[in-house]
Amino acid sequence: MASAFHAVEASGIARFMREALYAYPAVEAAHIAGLALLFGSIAIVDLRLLGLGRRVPLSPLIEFAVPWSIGGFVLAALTGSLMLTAHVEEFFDQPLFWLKMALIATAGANAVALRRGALRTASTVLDAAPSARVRLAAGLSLALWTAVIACGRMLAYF
Amino acid sequence: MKRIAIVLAALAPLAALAHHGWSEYDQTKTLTLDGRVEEAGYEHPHGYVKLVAADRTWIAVLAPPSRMDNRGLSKEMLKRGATVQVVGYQNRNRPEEMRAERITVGGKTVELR
Repeated sequence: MASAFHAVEASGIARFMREALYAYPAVEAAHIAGLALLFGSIAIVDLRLLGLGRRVPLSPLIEFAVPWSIGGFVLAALTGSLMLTAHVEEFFDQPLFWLKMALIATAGANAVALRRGALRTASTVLDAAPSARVRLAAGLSLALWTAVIACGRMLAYF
Repeated sequence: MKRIAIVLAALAPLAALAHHGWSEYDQTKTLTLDGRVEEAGYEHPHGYVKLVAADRTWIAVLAPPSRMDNRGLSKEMLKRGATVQVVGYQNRNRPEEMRAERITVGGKTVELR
């Protein structure tokens, strides 16, 4: 395993990330843009699912916002991977990094479960009042993505 | 309920992290080290020098290279064999590591924070 990490860290892209004067900060900026797009768009959907802004029809909101959330996630994941290559071993040694990955996986599972479960079956009644289950999932989504951002920020301080 | 349990389980390691952070560096004692650069990393997210000082070989954590470059500390100045002085704070958990607040190389002092 250790030699695999070294191979990644010795690669051209990893060296570029470490040594180019402005690549790392530029990738960091793109990472923030990605997570802002993800969090911003999914937070609006979550707030709507919690029962706020019920004058906004739910289905078109989800259809419009969720692809942007996924796009934001892809951008954040790609830029995050680039930063990871620069110091794989250091990141892998940090419990905070694994906590962040676990939180992302949980947030993803929560979103998929919501989409396949409560949202699909209850879509006709959602415009009236969201069920407790939907509200729980929406609240969880907000909490999880907030925790992911907190972990990401804290990685720089640990 | 199951989801909540997963979240709580995932958050548990946070408690174990409480002893890390900026407080890792002992800011009550300012260290001044003179030495010779054995190895230098002019790299993101922060540069470093391996510094052979009188008592031991230190790892001095510097600033991001973009900042060092902006403040006139070039990659060339941090070459192996250069004589430098760093002022900073020792890491409580890794006693061979220090976080440099400023570095003096070739008669030039550069603030790193």
